[in-house]
Amino acid sequence: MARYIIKRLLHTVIVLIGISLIVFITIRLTGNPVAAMLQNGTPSKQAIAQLTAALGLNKPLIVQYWIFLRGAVTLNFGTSYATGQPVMQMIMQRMGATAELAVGGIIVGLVLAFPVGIASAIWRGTVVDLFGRTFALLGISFPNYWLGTMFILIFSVWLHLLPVAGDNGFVSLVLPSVTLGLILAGILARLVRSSMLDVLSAQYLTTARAKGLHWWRVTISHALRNALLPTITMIGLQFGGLLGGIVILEQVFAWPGIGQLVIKAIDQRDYPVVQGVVLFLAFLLILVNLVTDLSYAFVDPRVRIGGEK
Amino acid sequence: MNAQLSPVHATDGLQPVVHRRRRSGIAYFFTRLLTNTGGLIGAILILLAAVCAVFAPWIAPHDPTAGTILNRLDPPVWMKGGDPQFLLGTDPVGRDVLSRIIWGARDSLYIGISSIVLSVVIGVPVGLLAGYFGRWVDDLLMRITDIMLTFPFILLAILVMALFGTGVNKVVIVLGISGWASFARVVRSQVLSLREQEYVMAATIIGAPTWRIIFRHLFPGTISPITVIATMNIAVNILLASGLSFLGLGVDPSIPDWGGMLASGQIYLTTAWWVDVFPGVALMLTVLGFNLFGDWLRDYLEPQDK
Repeated sequence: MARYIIKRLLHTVIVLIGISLIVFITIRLTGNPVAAMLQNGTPSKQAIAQLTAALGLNKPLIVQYWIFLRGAVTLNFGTSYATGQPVMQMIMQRMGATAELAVGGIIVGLVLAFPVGIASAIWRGTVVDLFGRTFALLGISFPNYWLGTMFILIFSVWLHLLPVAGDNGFVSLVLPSVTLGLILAGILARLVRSSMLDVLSAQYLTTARAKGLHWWRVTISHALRNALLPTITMIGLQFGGLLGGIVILEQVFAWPGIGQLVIKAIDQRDYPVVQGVVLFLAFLLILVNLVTDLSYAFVDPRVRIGGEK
Repeated sequence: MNAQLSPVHATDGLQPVVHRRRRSGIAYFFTRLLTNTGGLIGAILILLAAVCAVFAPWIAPHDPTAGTILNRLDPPVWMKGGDPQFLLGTDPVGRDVLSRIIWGARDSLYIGISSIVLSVVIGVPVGLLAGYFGRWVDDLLMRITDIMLTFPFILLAILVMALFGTGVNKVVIVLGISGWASFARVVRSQVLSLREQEYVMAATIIGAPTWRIIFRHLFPGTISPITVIATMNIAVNILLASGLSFLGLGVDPSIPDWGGMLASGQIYLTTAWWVDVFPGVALMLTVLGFNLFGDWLRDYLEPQDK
């Protein structure tokens, strides 16, 4: 186990360096951001040179990367060109709203995915299954932002039941969470269904039924337990997609999270903020993947043994 | 997979010979497709989008980019005040929504398909090399693949589009480059199992050159999983591309594009819902088509995974 953890941690460090390189190189590929930032009016060469030097953009690339990396390790992503505030502080101010949305979405997703997936598997090939599979298929086929817009149209504009957008406490969280959750539920319900089907025909379930256990008991305590692990892993794997969905949905619902922060920063060409948010979310994602992998290895010995070649 | 040895019986060799015809003809493909509701609906939806995309100039009743402010926000034809000239109404600039939807199919399909082609062109060779050579080549390539798989696509796309500006081909490149890793993964694992097959070993033993083993003996075995993933990922990329356009980071706003139409319609939601509803339906149906067809294709090509 210890060997597996060390190996996995080492692997994580490599991925982190890789991602920081991708972000750094991508941003530098566009040339000097200063010229783009000072687009309004025609900046003098002197003004450009001054700002370039002030931002440290005249140093050799390798030095710039070193400074960037040293900062990133300590979660110091520099200061915003636009507000002068430290980027990390700006992220933290908005992280709460984004986390609320993420948690809301995951809860809705799980609450919907399990009953639908389980019912689909138990009554395979029936109308219930058809309904469940259609639900799951629609979940993965709906553009999340359009679904969100439709919800606003139906529940806010036509029925006046919920606020259109913004953050006014819990009621504001309902529509964005449900939108996010429905998409996630589509992906998860398919997985719950197929992992339940895998075990429903297994011999130990036949034994359990032969022992006279109630079918409900067999399904829940025996089969469901097996469907749980892959589903949790899937949430970890889908976390990237979830973050992407959140960034877009925050625009739709005017939700004051980091998605709005990054889109506004793009508009203002506030590169430290864009770079900081992208890196921060990538770090978060890698952390989630790491935790998922480790907990999986902890529960399932085959993983950690298979992990050591 | 761990292969288990089963006991050998004396009668094993005496089983009646069953003629197992290779069922792979075009006729068989269509028979199977026509008898499967999901697959058939999927194929029809894709075909519909494809016809719109190819024949847009002849099908579309109006110029998708021209409109007069006089026809601004006309409701669909069945509503009060609807103009029979504009079946699905007009947008805030007076352009025909239906025509824009028909033209919009071009962008979505072009981006979806060509970005996947790019992913395949990068990912498949990576997977073949990693799987065939193993050792450090495999380690190196798979670490890079892992980084790509861990990196949040949409964030990379947002970053790149923000830095390099909008444009159809930029979207294709961004999505293509961020999507190759899943192909590399699948091709590699397929090659790992194919490499142990007798026919590949035989080819190695008789001294076939490396490139011949890779392309003649290993590559064909990877085609079906590639096809399935490609179909599914076209759906994913169409969604991602429209999401980028929605954020104003996708294609040029003047081009008729479903994501762009949805973004511009959002502010008129309370007064002119049709500007936002119909392009979304078109987008959803196209994505649904690829998902349905992809599901069917997986069952058809890889029945053991069913």
